[in-house]
Amino acid sequence: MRLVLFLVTMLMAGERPSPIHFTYRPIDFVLDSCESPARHAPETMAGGVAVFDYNNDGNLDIFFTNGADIDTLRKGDAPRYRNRLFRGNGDGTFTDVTEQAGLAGSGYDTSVTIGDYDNDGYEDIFVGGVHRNTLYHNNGNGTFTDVTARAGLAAVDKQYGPLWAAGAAWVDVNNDGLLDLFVANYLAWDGAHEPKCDYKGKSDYCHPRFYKETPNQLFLNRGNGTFEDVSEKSGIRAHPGKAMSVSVADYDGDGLPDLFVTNDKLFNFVFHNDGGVRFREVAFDAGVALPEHGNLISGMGSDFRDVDNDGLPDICLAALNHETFPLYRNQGHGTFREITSETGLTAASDSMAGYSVNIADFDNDGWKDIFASRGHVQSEAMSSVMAIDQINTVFRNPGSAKKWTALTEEAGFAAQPPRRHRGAAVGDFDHDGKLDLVVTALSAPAEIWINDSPNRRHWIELALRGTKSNRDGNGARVRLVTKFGQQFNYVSTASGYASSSAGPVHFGLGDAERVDLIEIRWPSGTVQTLRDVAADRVVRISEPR
Amino acid sequence: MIAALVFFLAMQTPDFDSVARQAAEVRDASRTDEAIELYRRALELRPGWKEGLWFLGSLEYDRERFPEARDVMRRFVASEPDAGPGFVLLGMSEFQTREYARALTHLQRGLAQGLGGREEMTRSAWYLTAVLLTRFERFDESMEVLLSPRFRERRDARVMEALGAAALRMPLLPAEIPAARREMFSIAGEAASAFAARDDVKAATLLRQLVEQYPDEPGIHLLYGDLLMKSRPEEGIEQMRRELEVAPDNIHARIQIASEYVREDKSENALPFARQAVALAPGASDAHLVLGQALVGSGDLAAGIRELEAARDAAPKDSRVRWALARAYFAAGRKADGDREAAEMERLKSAERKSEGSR
Repeated sequence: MRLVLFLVTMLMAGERPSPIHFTYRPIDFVLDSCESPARHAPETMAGGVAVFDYNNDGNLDIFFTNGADIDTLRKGDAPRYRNRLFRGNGDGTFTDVTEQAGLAGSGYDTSVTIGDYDNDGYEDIFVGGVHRNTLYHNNGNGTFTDVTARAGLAAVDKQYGPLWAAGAAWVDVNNDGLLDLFVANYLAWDGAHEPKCDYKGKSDYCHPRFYKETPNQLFLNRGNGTFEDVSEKSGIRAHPGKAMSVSVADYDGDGLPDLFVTNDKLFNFVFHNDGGVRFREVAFDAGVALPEHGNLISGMGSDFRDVDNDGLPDICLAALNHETFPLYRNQGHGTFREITSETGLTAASDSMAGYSVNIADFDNDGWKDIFASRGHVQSEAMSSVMAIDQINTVFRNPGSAKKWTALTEEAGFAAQPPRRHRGAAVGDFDHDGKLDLVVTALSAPAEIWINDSPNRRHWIELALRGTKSNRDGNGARVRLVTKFGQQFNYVSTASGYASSSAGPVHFGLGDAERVDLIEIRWPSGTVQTLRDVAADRVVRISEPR
Repeated sequence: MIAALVFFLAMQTPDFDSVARQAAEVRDASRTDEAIELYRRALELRPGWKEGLWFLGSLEYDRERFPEARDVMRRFVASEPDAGPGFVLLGMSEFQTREYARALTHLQRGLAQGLGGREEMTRSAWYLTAVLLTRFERFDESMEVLLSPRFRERRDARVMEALGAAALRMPLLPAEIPAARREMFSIAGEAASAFAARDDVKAATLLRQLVEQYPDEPGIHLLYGDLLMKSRPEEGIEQMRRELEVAPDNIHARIQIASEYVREDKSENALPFARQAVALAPGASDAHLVLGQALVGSGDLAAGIRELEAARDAAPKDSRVRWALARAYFAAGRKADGDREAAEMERLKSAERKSEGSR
């Protein structure tokens, strides 16, 4: 009905409908980062959001992180700072279940990543924050328990002091069937010694060079509910940076997950997994340490998925105005080449500032598009100088040598005012086979964007369940073949800025009503194939024992 | 202590003290010609008197007797090599005597040493530095100076013209700009200023006006092409091609066209423009850089690396070149060389970061 109304409206207006379109739907959450005249750095970096199914009812739910009092880094009793869990009703509406779930939180929380670390069949939540992270164990009855200390994740870094987790990823680094945890730490921040930065006579958030680098962390899952800090011996700690995000894929096909880490005004990192829980930083060799032009950019959120259907995961990251949103094509043999200009993304994104980029097929044409949550890092006080509040954009992948198209107003995003958008997560909230979005914005309501793109293309979603591998199938490589060609995806819930998308693996199928072949290479090494699978449904697939 | 005082007093001959005091008095009374004469007499009595040299040089400059000012300031800096104001005044004098290369060297040295809060002198020195950089075809450096915060609040007509010359890549001093083209330079300066302030709408409006008013003037299409290249690269290339019709030997236009083709992975299209740029300007690192990138993109790694090495040798502090060279080495399997260039690039970037302000 919504689709018909949209088409009728467009036709009456004499316009060709946009190939990707969303309709706004409100949700009762306002991101409060405690913005203050002192312009403390965390205030502009909040806003992680997750999409996942916490109660296994088949409907996607939403978890929002939220800020706290910036001076104490505590939420206190103020409802304004509570993290929130919304249970999906399956029709694109949601019910607040924060209190029942016990997820209101207590600290200044910024990021979230979803994973079933104990393989009990219920998704757990890792919340990254300023000077304090929290691991919530899903009890399977609609409630969660804070197990941070028990899990060994509460220790303060002896050298760097308390850290600030801007992002994190669950990833089984050694393919032992247990999800390990990579924490992407931003910069060394001390609220009592905030540098003062004036731009054109106005106080604003400081350039990251005013703060010191901090190391990222890797925690190895022991399988008994506790984690071992292997940051040092894995080689990760040797590379301190100012990480804004981490995304995961096996980019060289050696069967081990690798990590791409964006840094704010520093070189990006690629941690190549050498096996044996050892990583080597190879961003220069891989050609993604910085863009082709050689300038350092404000690397924000990222995603690591195959956009050209060649089976090799590609990389996209968000950045600020005049830095573009660089897109790197995986050339094989461990190297990447920037294709931002040749895909038209330089021209399309040059005037934009963004936080989250999420690679997903929003029009089900079989080619993954890129959603960008947009907004500048600086405060509203700089609005006279630069575009601080911005409208979100989806970049449509034309699937051939043609240039990508930026769809902003055309995609319906102008239904909400420009904002400083931050985290974003993807999933099909209303079971119509089209990927929807949830996006946060600083000091503003969160936005649900229901996908009502004007097409009747086919789709399929794969809900993987590992047995020998981790239960989420995190790290599985999926190949799907239809009469129109093949597609690939790599299972990882780390996507975008500070956010996590943990719904089933989604493929748009274009006009294909059936899938000829689904091939899943599980992290355990098992290769599973399914043939002649009907489209337009969620297929639950268990790893053969 | 007492012995030192006695020695000091003995050295202060009554004649010198008297003349020096008189010189200061008439200088304070703005009787410049008399002051100049008295300082000259005092300096005959004590040739190494630094204060006297400074004031004499300043007064000669104020009187617009630039050769005299230059000669006095040369004596001053010889005895006071760490005095930034001395080198700046020497450079300003040399600018007026049209000794441009020396003037630029001395202005830059003086500015590097610092002028101790002399705001007007600092502003004048930077302005002259910028116009001289334009004169020596160091247009990008000139623009960097004129677009810097020190000129942001007071970008007057004089500065706009100088900025226009740099933006149009015309090696003219402001005095050399033909009267009939002053408006063109001013509008170009305004456009460059708007472009730098990221006011693309204003910049585009001004540049369209320029293109319509002066379609056959060198530099106009180049400037418009620069603006368009990121947002509408096809139109940017078209403007660069039109620039080449107006100014067939323009190197920057060729480099820009080749660079865009490299970015779009159209190396074969880039190669002719890059080769022409190198032929026209064999010492230009940017030309070697883009030729190297185009050759690497076309699969000729060995030739590409040779060009990138030439670019590095021409501009060893350019981190862009190091990045391109590092990737080429890695692609060629020369990991040690790639690691070396990457390390050098990290060092250069670290230095660049220290001077960054806002995002």
